[in-house]
Amino acid sequence: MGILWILVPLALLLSASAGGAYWWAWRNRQFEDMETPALRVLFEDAKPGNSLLVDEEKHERMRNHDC
Amino acid sequence: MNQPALSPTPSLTETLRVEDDSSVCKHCGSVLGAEQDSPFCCAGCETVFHLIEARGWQEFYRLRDQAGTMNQDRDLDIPSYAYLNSEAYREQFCQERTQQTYGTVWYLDGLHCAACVWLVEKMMRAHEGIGVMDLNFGESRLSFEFDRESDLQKLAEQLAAAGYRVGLRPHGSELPNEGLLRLGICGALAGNIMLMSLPFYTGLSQGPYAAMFAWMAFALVLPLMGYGARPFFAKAWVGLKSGGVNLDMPIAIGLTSAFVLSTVQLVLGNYHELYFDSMGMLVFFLLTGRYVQRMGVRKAMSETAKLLAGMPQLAEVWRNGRWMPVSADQILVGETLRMRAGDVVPLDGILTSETAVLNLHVVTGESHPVYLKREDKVLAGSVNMGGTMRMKASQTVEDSRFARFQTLADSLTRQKNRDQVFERAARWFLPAALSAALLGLFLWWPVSPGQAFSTALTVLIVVCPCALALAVPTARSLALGRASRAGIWIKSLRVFETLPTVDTVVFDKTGVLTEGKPNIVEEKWFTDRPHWLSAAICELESSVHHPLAGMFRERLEVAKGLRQTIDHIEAVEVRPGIGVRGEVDGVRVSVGSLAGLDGFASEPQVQDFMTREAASFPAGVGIVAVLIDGRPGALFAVEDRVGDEVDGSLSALKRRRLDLTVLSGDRPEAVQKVVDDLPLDRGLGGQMPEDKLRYVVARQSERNRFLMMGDGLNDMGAIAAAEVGVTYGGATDAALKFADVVLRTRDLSRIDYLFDLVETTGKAARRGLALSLGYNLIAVSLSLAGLIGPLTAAILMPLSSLSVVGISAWTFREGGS
Repeated sequence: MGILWILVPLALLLSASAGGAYWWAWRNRQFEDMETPALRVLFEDAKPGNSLLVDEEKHERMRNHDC
Repeated sequence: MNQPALSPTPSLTETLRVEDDSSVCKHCGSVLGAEQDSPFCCAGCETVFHLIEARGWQEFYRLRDQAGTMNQDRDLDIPSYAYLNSEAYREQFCQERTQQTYGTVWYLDGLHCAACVWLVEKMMRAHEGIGVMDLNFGESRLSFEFDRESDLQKLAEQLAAAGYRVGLRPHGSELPNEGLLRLGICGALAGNIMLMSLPFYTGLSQGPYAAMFAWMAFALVLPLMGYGARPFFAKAWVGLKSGGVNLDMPIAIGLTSAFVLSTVQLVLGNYHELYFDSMGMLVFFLLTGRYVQRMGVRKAMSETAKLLAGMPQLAEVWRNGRWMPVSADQILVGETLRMRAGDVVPLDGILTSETAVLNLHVVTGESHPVYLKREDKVLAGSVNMGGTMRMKASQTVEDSRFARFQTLADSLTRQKNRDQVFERAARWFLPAALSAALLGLFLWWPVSPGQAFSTALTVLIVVCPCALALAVPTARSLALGRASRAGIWIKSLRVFETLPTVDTVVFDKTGVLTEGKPNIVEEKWFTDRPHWLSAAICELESSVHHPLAGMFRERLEVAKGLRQTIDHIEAVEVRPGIGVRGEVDGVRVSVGSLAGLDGFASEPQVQDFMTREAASFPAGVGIVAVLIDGRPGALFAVEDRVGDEVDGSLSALKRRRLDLTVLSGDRPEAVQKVVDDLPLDRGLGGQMPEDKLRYVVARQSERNRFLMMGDGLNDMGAIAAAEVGVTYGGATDAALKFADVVLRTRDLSRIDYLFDLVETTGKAARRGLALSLGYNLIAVSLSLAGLIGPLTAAILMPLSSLSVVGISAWTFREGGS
C-alpha cells in the first residue's frame, strides 16, 4: 500500500500535464475552427510539377505561425 | 503524398472538350441560353476561367466537380471597394502589427465547398503583400496581415469577380473562446476530485491514506473555486451590489457553504463528511449547460454577422474642383454628391439633377419607384434606380432622418432587454433556500449547536439550484439547434419568454407578404402592333431604369427578335410623378399613370375612354396607361404579387388565434387588396416609419404583445419596439440589426414553426423545473430530518441534473417539431 504515496501524486501530475496540453491547444486556437482543416485535406498542393504561384517565403511564415 | 492520386491532370481545354456540354457555362456550370455563342454565361465567369487557366490552377475544377454544388444565382454586380485602400479603413478596421503591416478581418459571402476554400487561399497567396492568412469556412471569416502598399481594392475586386463578395464588420475580441478552456479544466478537476473521493465511498474514513486523499481533493478544489467557479461568484457579486437577486447567488452560496463546511470537517479529521466531489460535479454541469447555450446564440449571431457584413460606402463629393471619394460621415452640409445607378443615398439632401428615379422601398415601403425632379427632397436609404444623379447634402449623416430613427430604435432595444424570467425564479428560490436552512438551524439547536450548523449547511448544499439552473439552458440550447437547422437564427434568448405572450402579428407588405417586384396581372391592347409597342415600352423604360422595363423585357424574350423592330428612339422626357414619353420610330409614345394622362393626352375623351376601360381591372392594382400619338395604346394592371406559400402560412398563424395586421407604406388600395386576398384581420396603408412604431407602442400600452416582421428601414422602429422582431436574410442592415430572430429566407411558415418550437421549449423547461423542484423538496426534508449525508447528496445531485437534461431531450423528441 505504501506505493500509493508515489502513485497518487504521479497520477495527479499526469492529469496536470494533460491539462497543460489542453491549455496549449486552446491558446493556439486549435478549437476555433473545426471545419476548414477537414476541407484542406482534399487539396493536393504537394504534387510536384503543379505550377502554383506560391511565394515560398510566405509559405514558410505561415508554417511558423501555425506551430 | 507525392504520387498523383488521380490520372495526370489533362490540360484545361482538353478536360472541357471531354466533358463538352455546350449548354452549360464552362466556369460556373449554370445553364446557357440557346442564343449564346460564348461558352460562358457572363463576362465574370470568363474572366475567372482565364485567371484560373493562366495560373495553372485547374485543380479548382477537379475539386469543384468532386464537391458537387455551386452557388446557383451568383450576383456579379461588384460593389466599389475603393474604401479598402483608404487611411480610414486602416484606422477603423485594422490593427497595426508592425510599422508596415496591418491585420484585418473580412467576411466572404459565397463560400460553399472545398473548392471555394482552395481558390480563395490561392488567390490570397498570389496577391502581392499578403502575409499570414487564415480562412475559417464555418464562419466565412478571412483574417490576414497585409503590407501598407498592398492593393486591397484589387484583391477584393478579384475575389468578388470570382463570386466571393467581401464584407466588413468591426471585429470584436480576438481572444479564443474562454468558456471552452474553463469547461475543459473544470472537467479534469471534477474527474480527479471524484477519483480522490472514491476511497470514502468504499468505507475508508480514518488513517493516513484517508488524510492523503482528502487533502489532495482539497488541493484540487482550490483551483475549481478560484478559477472554474469565478463566473458564478462574479455575477452573484454584481447582483449583490446592484441590490437585485439572480440565479448565481444561490449557486455562490451553495458553493461557499459546501466549501466552508467541508474544509472545517477536513481540519477536524472527519474525512467521510466532505462535499468536494459534489462541488466539482456542480461546477462542471453548470458550465456545460451555459457553454452549450452560449454556443447556440453565438452561432445565430455569427450567421447574422455574415449578413450584416457590408462595405462602408464612399460617396463621390465635389471638393477642390474634382470628385473625391469621401466616407459618408465626413460629408458636410451643402456639398454636392454624385450617385451612380444602384448607389444607396447616404444622407438627406436636395436633388440637383433635372430628374431621378429612386426606389424608396426600404425607406417608406412604397413598392413602385418614384420620379423626382430638381429641388425635390431625397431621403437617406433610397436607392438610385436611374442614371448618375447629383444631390446637395442638406443634413449630415447623423442628422438624417434615418440616423435619428436608428438612435430611437437603439434605445427601444435596450429597454426591452432588461426583464428576465430566470431572475424571477431566483427571486423566490433564494429566500426559500435560506429559510429552509434557518429552519434546520432552529430544529437542531436544542440537540447541539454543532449539529445545527451542520444541518443548516447541508440544506444549503442539497438545495443547490443545479437542476434548476440546468433546466432552462438545456431546453433552450436544444431549441436553438433545431431552429438553426430549420433556417431560423435566434439572436436574443428573450424570445423564449416573450413569444408565448404575443397576441398580434404585424407584417410589412412589400417584400414580406409580397415579392417586392411588380408583375403584370391583366392587360388590354388598343393597337394592331402589340409587339412593336411592347418593344417601344421596353426601350422607353430602360432609358430611365424603371423596373417596368424588366417586366417587358421578360415578355419580349418569350417572343424573340422583336426588339429589332425599333430603329431609333429620341426625345425621351421624364415627367416626375407621371411617367415617361419619347419618339419611337417617329411615333410619340407615352407610358405613365392613369392620373397623369392629362399631361400626355390632348383629348379629354381619350382620358375618359382609358378610365372606363381601367374600371374593369381588379381593385387595388396599379395601372399603367400607354398612348400612341395621343390615342389609346394599351392598359396594364400591375401588381406586386403575393408569395405562393403566404396564404397557407397565414392560415396556420390564424389557427393560433393571433391577430394578423399588415402595416405598409404602400397605397391604401394596394394594402386593402392584400387584406381581401389573404386571411388578414386588418391592414393600414400609407404608414410612415414613425406611424408603424407608434402603432406598436400605442397598443403595447393597451396590453397587446407584438411580433413584427419586416425588412426595411421603415420597419426598424417597429421591429425594435415589438416584443419579438423578425426579419429575413435579404433584409436591410437596419432590420437585421434590430431583429431578435432572423429567418434564412422569406419563408413565413417558419414563424409558425418558431411558435411551435418555443412552445415545446417552454414545456421542456417546465418539466425540468418541476423535476428539480420535486427533488429539492424531498432532499431538503430528508436533510432537515438529519437523514441525508454527504454520500447520498453526492449521488442525488448529479442524478437530478442528468434527469433534467433527459426530460428536456425527451420532450423535444415527443414534440417532434
